[in-house]
Amino acid sequence: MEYLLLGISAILINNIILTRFLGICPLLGVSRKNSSAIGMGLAVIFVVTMSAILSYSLFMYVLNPLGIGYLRLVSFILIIASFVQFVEMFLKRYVPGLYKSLGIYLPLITTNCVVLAVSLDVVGITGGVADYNFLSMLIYSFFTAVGYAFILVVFSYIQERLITDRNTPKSFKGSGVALITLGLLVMAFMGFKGMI
Amino acid sequence: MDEVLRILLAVLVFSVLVALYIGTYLLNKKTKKPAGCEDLTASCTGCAVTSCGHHPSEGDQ
Repeated sequence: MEYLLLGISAILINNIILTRFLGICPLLGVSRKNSSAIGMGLAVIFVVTMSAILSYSLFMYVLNPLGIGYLRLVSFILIIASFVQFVEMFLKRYVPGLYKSLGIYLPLITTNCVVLAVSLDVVGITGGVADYNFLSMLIYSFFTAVGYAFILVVFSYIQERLITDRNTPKSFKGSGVALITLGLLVMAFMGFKGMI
Repeated sequence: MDEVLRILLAVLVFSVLVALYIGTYLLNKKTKKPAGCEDLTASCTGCAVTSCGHHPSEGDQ
């Protein structure tokens, strides 16, 4: 039950875009077409979950026991960048079909701060005790990425309508109206607060 | 643990990670793109993420 609540919370209540405003660049960038948003969303789910597993393992089994936990930020950046390179290489070689549809989004993920934020979140330690065990880390990272993908897809449908809408004032067109819409989405999702 | 040893360990871990990144980057660069995907960037008209390697402005530099 605890894990189910953690998942629901990561998607609806503490959605990483709507509560912490992370990953806004790719959100505004690729949400103009919903096919791009779905592709980017799937790629983010995979990369965030795998990066969190790698970062958590590196921190808990290498950096922290050696007393060099202060290296976590730079280590995670390198781990994420290496992992994205590896995934791109793997897809090119063994799954060309998937590379054709997701390959264009992989370099974008390296610059997505959601990946780094989730990796830093899961290694939190309070009073000498880790905030997340391996299973809760896995659930938190997966559902946070699902929450990101969910907003990306929902926002892409809204964006498609906004682009074709002729009533939008000229000065609001583009990022202006997109950010205002995002603000309204934040207010709508605030309704979920207190649900759990 | 001795402070000097700890610093050496930090340098070692950092070097391994940098080497890992350089290794995966070079391997990825060497790997040939599958047929039909040679120029995926051509289909990209650019978005708000200007730091992306596929962004058309990257080609100008």
